[in-house]
Amino acid sequence: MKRILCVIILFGALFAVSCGPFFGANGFKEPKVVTGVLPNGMRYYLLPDHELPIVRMSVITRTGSIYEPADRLGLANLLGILLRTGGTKDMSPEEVDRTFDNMAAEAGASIGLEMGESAIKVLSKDADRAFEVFFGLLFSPRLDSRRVELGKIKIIEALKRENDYPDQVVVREFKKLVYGDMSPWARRPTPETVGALKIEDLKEFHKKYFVPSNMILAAAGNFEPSAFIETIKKYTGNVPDHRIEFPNVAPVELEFRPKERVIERPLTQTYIEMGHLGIKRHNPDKYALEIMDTILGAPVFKSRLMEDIRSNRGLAYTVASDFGWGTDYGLFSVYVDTKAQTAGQVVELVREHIVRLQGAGDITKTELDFAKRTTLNRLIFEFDNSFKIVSQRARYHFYGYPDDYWHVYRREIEKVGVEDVKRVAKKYLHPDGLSIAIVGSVAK
Amino acid sequence: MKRDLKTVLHYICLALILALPLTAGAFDLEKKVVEYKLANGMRWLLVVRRNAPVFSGVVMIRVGGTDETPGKTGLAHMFEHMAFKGSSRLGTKDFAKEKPILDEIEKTGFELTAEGQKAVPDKKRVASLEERLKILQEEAAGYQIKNQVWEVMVANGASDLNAYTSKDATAYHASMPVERLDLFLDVISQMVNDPVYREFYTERSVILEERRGGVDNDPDGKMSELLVETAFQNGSYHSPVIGSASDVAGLTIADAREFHDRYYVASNMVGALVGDIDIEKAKRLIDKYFGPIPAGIVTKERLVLNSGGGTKNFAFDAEPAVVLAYHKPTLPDHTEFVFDVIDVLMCDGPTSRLEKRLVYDEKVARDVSCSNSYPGSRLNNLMLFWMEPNRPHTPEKLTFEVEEELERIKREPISDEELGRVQTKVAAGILYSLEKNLGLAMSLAEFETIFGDWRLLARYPSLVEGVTKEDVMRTANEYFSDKNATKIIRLRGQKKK
Repeated sequence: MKRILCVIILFGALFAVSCGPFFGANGFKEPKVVTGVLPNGMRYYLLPDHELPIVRMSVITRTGSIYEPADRLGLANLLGILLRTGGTKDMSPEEVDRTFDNMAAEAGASIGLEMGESAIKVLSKDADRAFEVFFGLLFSPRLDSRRVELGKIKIIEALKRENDYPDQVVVREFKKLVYGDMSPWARRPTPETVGALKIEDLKEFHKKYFVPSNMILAAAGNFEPSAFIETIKKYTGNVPDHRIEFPNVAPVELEFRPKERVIERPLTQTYIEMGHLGIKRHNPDKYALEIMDTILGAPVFKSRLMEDIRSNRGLAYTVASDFGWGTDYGLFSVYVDTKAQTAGQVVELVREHIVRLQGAGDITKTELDFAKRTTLNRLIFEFDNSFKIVSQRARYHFYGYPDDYWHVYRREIEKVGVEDVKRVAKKYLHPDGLSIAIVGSVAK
Repeated sequence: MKRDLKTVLHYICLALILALPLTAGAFDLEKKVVEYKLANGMRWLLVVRRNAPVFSGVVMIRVGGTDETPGKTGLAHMFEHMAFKGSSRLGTKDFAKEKPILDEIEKTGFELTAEGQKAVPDKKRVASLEERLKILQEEAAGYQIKNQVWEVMVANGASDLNAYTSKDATAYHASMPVERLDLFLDVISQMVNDPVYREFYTERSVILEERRGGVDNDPDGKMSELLVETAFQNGSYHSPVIGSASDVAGLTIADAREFHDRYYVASNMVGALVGDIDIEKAKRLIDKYFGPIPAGIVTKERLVLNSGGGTKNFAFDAEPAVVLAYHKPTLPDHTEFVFDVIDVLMCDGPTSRLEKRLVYDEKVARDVSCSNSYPGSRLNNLMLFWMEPNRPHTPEKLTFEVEEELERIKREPISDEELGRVQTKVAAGILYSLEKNLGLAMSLAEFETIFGDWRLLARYPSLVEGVTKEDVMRTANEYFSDKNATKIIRLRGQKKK
């Protein structure tokens, strides 16, 4: 890692910087996070920070749309909306809104594919009252029928309006193309499935997943941990717990068959996403793949795709790659938009770059060192905000990483060599199995 | 990650930042800021925060889309892209050899652009000039290090490295490990003071792509463009920041250089650093890198405000939406603070009047949002209400209901609870915005650059607190009238080309 910077100094002939190791390694003391498990089973990560009179808290829950029954699509999304807007056992939705707004608390809730999250930011002087309402929403939601209707309208409108933005359409369609339209990782609700959802469905889904031992709490800000824990106990102490039987989620079949989906629209630009299946989260090759992805086109300007397609040829404003992992297989994809006349040319250029990388003859030490330095030197920004630190810790636990994963990650990235990148490029890239989704006009 | 900050800010502008001023509490901003003025007139604002060994920095220039002249729209933004292409020392292997080729590229590009701008371009000449340009660019590339600004910055841990151009200003920013303060100041000073206009003509194509994505194919981008065209029938606000496609296609290196030399002068620049910095060391480095920038003469601004208005419908292959806008004054006129109150009262949170009625109670709108400094803040601007109806409700119904609510604040004083809530929200909003170094650095630079005094940021909550119920009624009566309104309605249909 020392070499590249020295080279830069020569070329630039002006940087008074040393060629030392990366910054996170020396001198920085990680803040001490308070962690433990409440008697009710909820895990917590806390970090006091008295600089500003603010408290931020989030609770993540293992639940999501992958667990929806096939005839209840949209259920998780709708419940997520209701966990903020639907009121509590003791308060109407309007009373909740007024309480939060009058104290300028910012609260939100949502449920995604495999994680639900409720979060709040509030002035510390109002934290006690805000938490009472927050946990009321989380554990005793009223699921007010007017707000259920409103939630349905919101989802249906969002589904319609997503079609207005071609960059969003292409991302959605690419996912469906690779995973399959009805895969739990890609399927979408329809106005019909959303319209048919009942309050009973919401109640049942909530009751099943929203129990303390299935949740992780993260909080940072102006509090003392012992008093904070007492407050949390006060509002969650009586919540019953049970073991959850998670439904089987159909596994993704690992295959690399090229598929194509074209959505014709009379646009001045063509929106393109191409790629194939990636890897699972705990695959030990992920570090080398991350470095490979940075070389190819992870979103910094100094990448092969950006340099060739944007800087040299002026063919695109946005071009980026992402080699992803997930609980099941993630996605490897390249996204690019270009004027309709050059769409064919750009698709071929991207394909050539993937072929070249997979062939792997010419990955240089310079490229490797740059990608590693970039990855390692920005790690310190995991620590520039107290809430970010605890929120990250909660996610590490959620995804099955050790609490000190930050160090593991750093060591693994440091170890990656040119040969590792060549090996994973050969193994995990499939230029013959590239699927491609296109939105726009395709002048052939 | 599909779109970067630049795209977003082009269209949304500064209203959000203005809505987030600063209050005392545990963190007294006025005492925290160290001012440092260089001999050449450049102003710096420094804030020490010891959370982590990092800092965020921004350099802002008081020049934006507002300063462009007719026929040259998009120039401020074009220059911003050029700054990332390096300097005589950055991005080159041998500038002495590269320079003569760059000069030839400039000449050839100028001829090509001039030919292309003719009513009937000579196709043969265009083709031969294009060929010559291509050869020259390949020759120059032999001496160039592509994207070295990015390479050096991100290899040294930069995050948030980017820039934006608004109607009011242009800003370059990054967050870095604190050991790299020297590098940050070195690179940014070269970007703003020593541009060499590398790859100008390729980058012009990139910007035309950016425009296709942000305006042509984006229903909201298109609606914003129509709004400024209609509300300001000509003058400094008439075009979007990215410029018209035909103007951008006609820009030359000479245009960019003239623009740079006129506006990128020390007396027109502000810098801000927030983070784990050593003040004395920071001052020394600032002197070293920004001290040599020419002071320059800030000439009288040539801004022209020309108002228009009225209703315009347009068709787009997208769900309907509507924006209703009213002309209003900007700072230092104190009416600005009254509009801040109206903004929160009407649009901020589920208890705000418009959200409560349109989104929650009647379920006729999917979303309502307000902005009270559109499209910029150096000239009088607009307060706007942007709404998206739920099917089957129409844009007309939503505007009718908003107009009813505006009539109500003309007639009836707002409640004590509402006024208290607005004041709490403004003060809390400022506190929340202090959490991040970059947010604070940007806000300080914006207030100093655009309004000439960063202290206004610190005093904002108390200024908003001075707003009375009578102020709200009087202001509503004065500005929310049909003759002062612009209305843009988007309906589903095929675009007319």
